[in-house]
Amino acid sequence: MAYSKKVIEHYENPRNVGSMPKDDPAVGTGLVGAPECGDVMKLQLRITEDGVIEDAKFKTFGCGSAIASSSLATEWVKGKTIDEALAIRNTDIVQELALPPVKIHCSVLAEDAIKQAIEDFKRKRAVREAEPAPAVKTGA
Amino acid sequence: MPPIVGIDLGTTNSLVAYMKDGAPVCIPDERGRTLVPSVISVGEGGLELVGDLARGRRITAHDRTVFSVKRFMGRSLEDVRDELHLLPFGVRERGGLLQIRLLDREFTPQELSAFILRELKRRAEKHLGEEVGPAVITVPAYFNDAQRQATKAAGLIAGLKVLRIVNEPTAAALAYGLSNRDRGVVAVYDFGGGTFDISILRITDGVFHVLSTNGDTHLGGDDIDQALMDRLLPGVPEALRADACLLQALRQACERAKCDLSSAGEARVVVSMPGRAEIDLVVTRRQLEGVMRPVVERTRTACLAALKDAGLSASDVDEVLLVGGSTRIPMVRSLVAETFGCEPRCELDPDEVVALGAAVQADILAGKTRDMLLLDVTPLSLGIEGFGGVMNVLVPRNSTIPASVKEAFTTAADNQTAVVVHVLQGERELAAENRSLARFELPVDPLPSGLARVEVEFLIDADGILNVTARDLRTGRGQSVEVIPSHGLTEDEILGMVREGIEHGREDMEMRWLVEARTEADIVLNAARKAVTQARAAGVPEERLTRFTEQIGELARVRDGTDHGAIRGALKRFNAETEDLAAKIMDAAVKSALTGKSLSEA
Amino acid sequence: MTGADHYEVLSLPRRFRLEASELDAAFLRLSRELHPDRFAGASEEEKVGIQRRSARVNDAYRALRDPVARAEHLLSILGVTRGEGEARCPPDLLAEVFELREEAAEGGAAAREKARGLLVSAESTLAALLEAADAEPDEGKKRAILPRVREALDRRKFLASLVREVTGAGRG
Repeated sequence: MAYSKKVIEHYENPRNVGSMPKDDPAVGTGLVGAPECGDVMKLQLRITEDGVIEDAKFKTFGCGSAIASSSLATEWVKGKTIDEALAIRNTDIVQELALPPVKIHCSVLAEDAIKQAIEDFKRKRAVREAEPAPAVKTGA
Repeated sequence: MPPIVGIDLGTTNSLVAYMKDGAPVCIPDERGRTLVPSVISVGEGGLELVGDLARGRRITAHDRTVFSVKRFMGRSLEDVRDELHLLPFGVRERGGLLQIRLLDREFTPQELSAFILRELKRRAEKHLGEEVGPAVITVPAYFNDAQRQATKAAGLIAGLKVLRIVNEPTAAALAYGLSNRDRGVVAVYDFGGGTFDISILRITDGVFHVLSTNGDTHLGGDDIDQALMDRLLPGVPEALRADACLLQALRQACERAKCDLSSAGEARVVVSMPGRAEIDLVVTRRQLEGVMRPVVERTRTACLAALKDAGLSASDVDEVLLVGGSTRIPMVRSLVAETFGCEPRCELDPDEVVALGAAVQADILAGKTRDMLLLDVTPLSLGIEGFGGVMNVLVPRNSTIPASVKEAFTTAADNQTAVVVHVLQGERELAAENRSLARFELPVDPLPSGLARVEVEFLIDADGILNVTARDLRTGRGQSVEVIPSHGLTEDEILGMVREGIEHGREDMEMRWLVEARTEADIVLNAARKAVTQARAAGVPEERLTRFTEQIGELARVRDGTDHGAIRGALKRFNAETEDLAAKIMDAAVKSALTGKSLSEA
Repeated sequence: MTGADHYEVLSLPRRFRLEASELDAAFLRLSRELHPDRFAGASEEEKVGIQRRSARVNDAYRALRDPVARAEHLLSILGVTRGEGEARCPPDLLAEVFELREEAAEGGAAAREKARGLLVSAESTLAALLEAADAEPDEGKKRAILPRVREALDRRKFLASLVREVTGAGRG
């Protein structure tokens, strides 16, 4: 199967690997996993007061597709607004990385991770602004 | 209805068997021999000789005689590169297919195997007095898809209708179980000329359920011969070591010595090529065991892996059956006893048991044996290549066959019109380290990415061969998939060879008979000429020797004629008239052996 | 799921725990009936269907023989999913697994031992839940157990792949 150069790039030199302080009010953390393959993915976003993502980091334990998906996701969200980031779909990642069908769930993980990170950030901000906390779904 | 025959297409020898009055029997030739050496030689007039006749030419016509063809079935040049230097015939690859050169012609391994199968078919037809078509052919359990397909193709080319490809160890279990056991756990240890298999079966009221199988399709008695040869070569004058003809003779002598050492403590490796070379070395059983230990140890590793896959330990195994000529070696037997903790059973002839089992399976397929059933497994995992060049397993090894799995495929880019699927077989994590079975393209309608959905069904049939079908899930339409095997014949190529085979069958039978008769006469003449000296040494009176020389001259004269019937007659006469000499030479040989002196020294 | 599920194919009761003997008996009985060897005289067109039908029996046997795959299959028949789109597993579980992974990445025999120990206890927790689910006669109460089965199964899977990785064994 042929893969684009981009994929191999992300696979071999993942961008934005690392961590940010979890309790920092400007940081949103998304933690997701897929039991089928044992992959776990942590994706963190540093977001400005105006809702712009100024930095993104990830740490993924899992297969090459999961690493490439999260690496690509962090690249894409940097500089985007929260709403723009929320518009990223897993199919965009599949297309960019030409993921085979058996690995599509890796792109789903990356999409979920972005959403969770943004929700986490919003929840923190809501608490900080002493507004009533919005109802946030946290699990299955 | 003609019986369905069972065929053991072996690396060293092949056999054909059928069910006679409820019991399997191997079909012998006129002389009562059931083994057909798996050797093909191009003889006079470009005719192919098969079996004993060809075997006799391994030394005299080494550049046009091929053996161990089974090692090449379904293989690429890369797969066999390491052993090419051992072989006296040229091998190259053309269009992904191996080509073996014999004289001025090239053959695929499938075509060469078809010669052996045709010979077996002829033998069966002669014996049964009717045409034989449908057949069951055995293969090593550890054969992959390409090797199985190659075997099936060889059958088709030979004009057989291959009803089933059966694994050798399970066939052996059938032959054995027919009379012995109706429940329990049985291990079949099958160590042949070129391949090794271990299968673990659970037998329950006539159902032979294979739990696991393991092995090595490139591990057999040949490797022991080679190890012995490597050990002896330093004792051969350097100038002779590059002589292909001599090496062939030495290989045969090593093989003979190996066989002798199964019953004797010491054996001689003798190569006598007048005017060129005389080699006479002594090998002890201890020496042989030293060089063969690494080969035999590899079989133990496979046995332990098979037990693990079956979820059993050695103590769960009720019985171990021995199959294949290499299990005659005492060291192999003691290794088996040690590994499984019980004395192996070997009351059935290890050379015949697989063919006998194939005949039983043929009878099951004919609907005659109804209380037995064989449930076999696929020896290797089937998968497809995924991201990062890894193999994603779809059907794990040791799954009972037929086995199937459905997988949905979609497109990654807008307006993509095809999805490429790369099918693999093997146990390695990286795609590149597994056997590539095929690549195919699934055509899809140009749509936004991810919308197209094609469902592919991978079905491993009861022969252990992969079948692929596809269905467009949006339209529900079936799709044709052309699976192009990475190393195998396409359907068209097989059909072409089948046609050639049919034409081949119509060739001048007179010519074939002549060549066969002449070749046999040559073998006898050769031996007779050598026997003159031996007879003299054995004390045969001079006048008898003179008559013997005349008899040889007479046979040689008839041999040069074109009447195959006359040659056969002359051969028969010659054998009858020289029986007295043969007996004397034999007696002298025995006597000298007893006194520790060889004929040549006497 | 298209067509019959694996339990239906083998005519077995939908239980998480199946005795090897009852599974084998069902498999052998159907094999005697449906194996392609029984239909060697069929036409070429019929043979494809015969192979497929026999494959269904073998596929069902293969899937139900493995307790984890069997539990997964039964949960899917019973419609117990993880919920799409949102966090796919309970956050506590993910946090625990992530932490274990980080520990393991730093290596050390202690991390390996810990992972192994956790897997053993996860397996016995799962086994107890499966037994409880099978034994519960009340449909409603059984339903209430299933999400816990789901979580215990996921936890076991995460831990199994962690153990595979830290002990350097090949992939499943």
